[in-house]
Amino acid sequence: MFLLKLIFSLNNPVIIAILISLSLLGVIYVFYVHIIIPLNQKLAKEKENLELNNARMMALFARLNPEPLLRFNIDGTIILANEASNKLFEGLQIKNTNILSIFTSLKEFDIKDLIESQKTIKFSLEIKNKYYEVIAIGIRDMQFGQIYCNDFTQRKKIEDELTLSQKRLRELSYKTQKLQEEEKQKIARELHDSIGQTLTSIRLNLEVLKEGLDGNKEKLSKINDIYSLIDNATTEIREISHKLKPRILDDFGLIPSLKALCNDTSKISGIHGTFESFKLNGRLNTELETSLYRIAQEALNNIVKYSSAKEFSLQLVKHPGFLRLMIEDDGVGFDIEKIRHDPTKKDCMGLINMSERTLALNGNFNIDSRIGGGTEIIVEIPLEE
Amino acid sequence: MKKIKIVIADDHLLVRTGIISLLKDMPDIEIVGEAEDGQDAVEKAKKLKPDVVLMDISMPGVSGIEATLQIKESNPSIQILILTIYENEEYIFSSLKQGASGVLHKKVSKEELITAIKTLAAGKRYFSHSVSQMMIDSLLDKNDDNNILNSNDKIFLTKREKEVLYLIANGLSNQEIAARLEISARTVDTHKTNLMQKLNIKTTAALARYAFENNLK
Repeated sequence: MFLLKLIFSLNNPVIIAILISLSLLGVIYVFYVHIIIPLNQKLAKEKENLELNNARMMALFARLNPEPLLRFNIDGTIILANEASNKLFEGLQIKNTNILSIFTSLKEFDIKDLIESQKTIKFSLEIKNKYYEVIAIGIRDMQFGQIYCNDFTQRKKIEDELTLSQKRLRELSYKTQKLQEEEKQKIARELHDSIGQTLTSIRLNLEVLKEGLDGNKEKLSKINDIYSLIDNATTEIREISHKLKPRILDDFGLIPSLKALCNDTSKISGIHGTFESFKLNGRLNTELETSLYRIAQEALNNIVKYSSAKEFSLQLVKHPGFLRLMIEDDGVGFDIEKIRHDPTKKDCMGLINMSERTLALNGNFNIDSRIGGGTEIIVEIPLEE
Repeated sequence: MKKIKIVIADDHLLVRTGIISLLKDMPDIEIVGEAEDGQDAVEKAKKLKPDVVLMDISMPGVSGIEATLQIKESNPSIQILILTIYENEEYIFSSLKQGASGVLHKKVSKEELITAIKTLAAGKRYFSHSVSQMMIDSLLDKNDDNNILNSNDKIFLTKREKEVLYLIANGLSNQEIAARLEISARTVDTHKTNLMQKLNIKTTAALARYAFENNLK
């Protein structure tokens, strides 16, 4: 008995320890039930509210977006469509339909991958005479994707108009050039055939007149003066006519004409020039021959005027499917960008002319130049085999 | 003495009358006909069988050069004397190729015209001074296909092409060559494809070999 009393006595330190522990546990329990649990519940509710608000906000943003906006989940089902998109796809059931039935361009893509890898896909779409740039973006964290449709009808209209007016300008310049060529040819022929031949016949008739002079020295020297006047006029007419339209181009084609052009340019300028043609036989069509001749003429003009070159070369190389004209010089060169951006410069017109003529033949015009390091002009024209 | 029969072919009446007035008093020359274009010249030559035809080059329809060929084909004994205001070698060489025996510039004097007609009638050739000068220049011109001194087996390469070929032979890529020569890679490619086409070479390796074989390294 005593022993039991002793064990359960308050004097026993073990009992004291047990009692202290029990009361501590009590305190902890009360604290947990009345403070921790309600606090947790409150936090969870707040978090839920926050997410809900967040979602509401995002939905609101989507709805308020003046441009059409659609949201789709990982299955491709549309879970949200704003007012603008409902209007855009009027008459179509949008919500809960699959995104692919509306945007067929997306069929080649995997929707799940689009969202998981956060991809961005762009394509354009025409609806009811309006043009949209469509952007689909995957958002992994939200497990959905969004589609934005930006109306660029206005921009497209302006772009189309610009393209059209560029095309018209090109056609106009082509026609002007063609007319100019015809006009030049006409004048050249008139000069050469009409005035040139008249001068020739005057000269021949003068020969007869000379006979009747019977050695009258004074009259003979007068006649010799007239001879040289006629010869000067003939030479001048021939030169003008040649500059307008070289007869040799009509009669013998591009290769002899370029050879003559190269030789004449060398002779006049003192710049050593060479002309070579490779794998090209026979005649080309008149338009092509005239254009290539004019391009070469323009290029050589520039070389003589601006390049201070010591040498130039002119090459015509036939490749399978195309013809390449290449004009090289070792002169001072120039900054292409500078000239391109300053169309007021006179030499810019020459470049534009060359490139327009090339474009009119569906060709490629390319120029490569550097200050102090010469210039290469490359013209490539497609040829039917 | 038998008179030399001639036909004058020129589309310009004034020129024909000019020539006629020069020749009409010559006792040994007889103008048997006039032609106003190439076709006419061919027909008149066939019908009138002249010894010499004075032929203009540029005439409407059949040119003087074509007419020369046709006349020589049907009657080789008729001599063709080209009278022209063109002094370009193309005109002269191609009329010679078609069978003309002489070329005169229209700036000709009466004496020279008569000499030329007589020379041709005797079966020889005649060229006025400026024409023969031009022909010789062309034969000696090193850039000319007609050149007789140049053996044409060596293909002409431009300065830039030689540079590009040299760098190809040294194993540089298009990009490296472009950087070295300060030209665009596209231009390098243009030179390369031109070189291949000119030299009948299909690969870059073969281009490099060509450079070595021709001491361009």
